Amino acid sequence: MTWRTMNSIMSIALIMGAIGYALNLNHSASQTIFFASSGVGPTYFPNVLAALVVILSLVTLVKNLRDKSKENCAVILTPNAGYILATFALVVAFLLSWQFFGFFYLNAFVLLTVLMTLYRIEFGLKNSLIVGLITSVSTTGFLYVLFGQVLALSL
Amino acid sequence: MDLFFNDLANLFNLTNILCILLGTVVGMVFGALPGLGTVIAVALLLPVTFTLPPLAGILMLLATYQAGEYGGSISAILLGVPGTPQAAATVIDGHPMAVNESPGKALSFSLLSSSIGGIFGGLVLIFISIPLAKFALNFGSPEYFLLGVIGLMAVGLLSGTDKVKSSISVLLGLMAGTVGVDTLTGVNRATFNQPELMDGINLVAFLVGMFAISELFLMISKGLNTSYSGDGRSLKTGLSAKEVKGIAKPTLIGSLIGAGTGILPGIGGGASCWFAYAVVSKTSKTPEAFGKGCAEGIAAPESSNNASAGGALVPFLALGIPGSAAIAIIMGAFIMHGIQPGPNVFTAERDLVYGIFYGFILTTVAMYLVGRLLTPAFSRVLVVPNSFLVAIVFVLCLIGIYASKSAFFDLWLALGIGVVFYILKRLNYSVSSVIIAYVLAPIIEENFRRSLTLSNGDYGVFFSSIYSIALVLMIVAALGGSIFADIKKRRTTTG
Repeated sequence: MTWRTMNSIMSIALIMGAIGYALNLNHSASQTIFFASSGVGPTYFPNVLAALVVILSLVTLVKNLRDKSKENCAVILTPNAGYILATFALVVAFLLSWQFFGFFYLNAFVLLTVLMTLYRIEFGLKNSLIVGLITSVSTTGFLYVLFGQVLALSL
Repeated sequence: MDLFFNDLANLFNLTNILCILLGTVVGMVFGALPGLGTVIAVALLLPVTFTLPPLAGILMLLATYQAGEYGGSISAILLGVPGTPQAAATVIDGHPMAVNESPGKALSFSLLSSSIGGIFGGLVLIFISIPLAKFALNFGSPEYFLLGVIGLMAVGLLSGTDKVKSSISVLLGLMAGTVGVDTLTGVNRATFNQPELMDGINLVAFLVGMFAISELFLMISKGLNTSYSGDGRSLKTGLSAKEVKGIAKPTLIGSLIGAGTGILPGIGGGASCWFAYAVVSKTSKTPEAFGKGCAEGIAAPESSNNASAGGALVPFLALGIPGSAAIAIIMGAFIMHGIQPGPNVFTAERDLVYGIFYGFILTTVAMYLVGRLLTPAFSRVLVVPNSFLVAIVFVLCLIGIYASKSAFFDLWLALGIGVVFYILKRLNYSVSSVIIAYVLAPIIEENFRRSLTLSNGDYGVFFSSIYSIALVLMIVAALGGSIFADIKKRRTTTG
C-alpha cells in the first residue's frame, strides 16, 4: 500500500467517523427534551466540530489525491510488521483470557514469556525461551509484590 | 512569613518526599530510554495519583516531567541518541565530549545546567503566575473561551508541519472531550449506548492508548534487539570552579529562552533547546568549538528545556491552559482530584498552589541529587533492548488502565486507540494537539455556551470587552501570521 492510498483511507475513515459521531449525537440528544434560549443546545458545539472534521478531511483527501510526488506514491515500509500484528493478537488473547477467566498474574506471565521469546527468536528458540522465562518470572513476581501486596490492587 | 513556613511544613512530609523521589527516578529512567520519553512516564504514573493526596500526586508527576528532561540527555550524551525530543540539541556537543574527553564531565555539565534551568523556571513560575492570575480574574466566559481557542491555535499551528492535519487533530481531541453526559443539560452525547462512556472517555485509557501503546508499536518497528554499547569509563566526574564559571552565561541565556518559550503554549522544550543552542553558538567567544564537544553547547539546551517546564506551568496554573502534552496530562491529575486550574485555584486551593511552587523547586533539587548519585545506574538501563522493554511496558500500561476504573471496557478502548494513533502518527497527525484539545474541550464548550446563554445568542458578546477584543485580535494576528508564513514558504520552494 502507498502513502497516498493510506492517507486517502484515513481521510475517508475520519469523514465516516465524524458522520457516525454526529448521527449518534443527534439521535441520543433528540430523545431528551431540552431548551436553550440562546439556540446553543448540547449538540451545537459537537455538530460544529463534526462538520469541521468532515470539511478538513475532504481538504486533506483532495490535497492527497492531487499530490503525485515520489514520496507520496512510495510504498509504505513497516519493518517488523509481523511482530506488530503478533503483539496485537497476543494482547487481544491476553485481554480475553483475563476478562473471562481471571488470573491476571498467570496471564501476564504467559504474555511476557511469549512476547519476549518471540521478540528474541533470532537468538534461537531455546535461548530466547530460557531468557524469556527467567525475565517473566522475575517481572511477574515484582508486579505481584508491587501491585498485589504493596498497593493491594485487585487485578 | 508564617504562611511561608506553613507552606514549607505542608510540603516537607514523608509522602511528598517519597513521591518526588519516585517521580524523579521513573522520569530519569524513562527519559533516558530512547523511544519511551517523559510523556509516557507521566501518563503511566497518572493512575497512581488516584491513591495519593492531590499535592503528592501532582508533585510526583512534576518530578517525573523535570527528571525526564534531564534523563533525555543521558542517552544523548552516552549513545548519541536523544532519549527525548528535548534532548536532540544536546547530542551535537554532548556526544563528542563524551567520546573525545569524558562522558562523566559531559553528564555533569548537563545535570548542573538542567538543575539551574529548573530552578530558574521555578522562580519564573512563582513570580509571574500570581500577577497573571490576578489579571485573569478580570476575565469572564467570553474571554476564557477565546483564551482556550488561542491555546488550541498555538498548538495546532505550531505542533505539526501539515497545518490541516494538525487542525484535524485538534478537532478530534475536542470531539473526544465532548463524549459523555452533557453537564449543563444531562443529555447523553455520542456514547454509542455504552454506559462506560457516560462519564466521558476514561482519561487514563485515552492517554495510555494514544501515547504509550502507539509508541510501543513504533518501537517494535524501529527494531527489537538493537544493542547500544555503554561507555565503560567513569561517569562520576566533578567540575572545577573554572568550568562552572564557563557555562554561567549559556546557562543563563538558555534558562531565559526556555522559561520564555515555555510560557507560550505549543512551543515547549523541543523548540526552545534548538533556539537556545542557536543563540548561544552565535554569541559565544568560541563559535568554532561548537559541534566538537563544547560545554556551552550542552549547557544552553539543557538549561533551556528544564526552564521551559517551569514556564509551561505559568499559563496552566494562572489561566488553565496547558501548553504541552505532559502538562495536559498533569492537568488530568487536577481534574481527577476535582480541581480546575485557573485564576480561582489560587484562592480556592491556596495550599496546593504554593505547595506546587515550592515543590517544583524541590523536584529540581531531587533531580540534581538523584542525578549525581544514580546516573551511572541509569546509564546501564540504556543497554536493555526493546525486546524486554516493549513486553514489560505493555503489561504496565494495561495495569495502569485497569487500576484507574477496574473496567475491561477501558482496556479494549485503549488498545483500539493505540492502533488508531499508531497509524495517525505515521501519517503525520499531531498527537500532542489531540490531548491538549481533549483537556481543553470542557472549558471551551462550557464558556462558549455560557457566553451565548448570557447574551441570548448574540455573538457580539465575544467583542464586548477590551480584553475579548484584544484576544480576538491575537487570534486574527496568529492566523494571519501563519497564513503569511505558509505563502512565504511556498514562494521560496517554488521560486
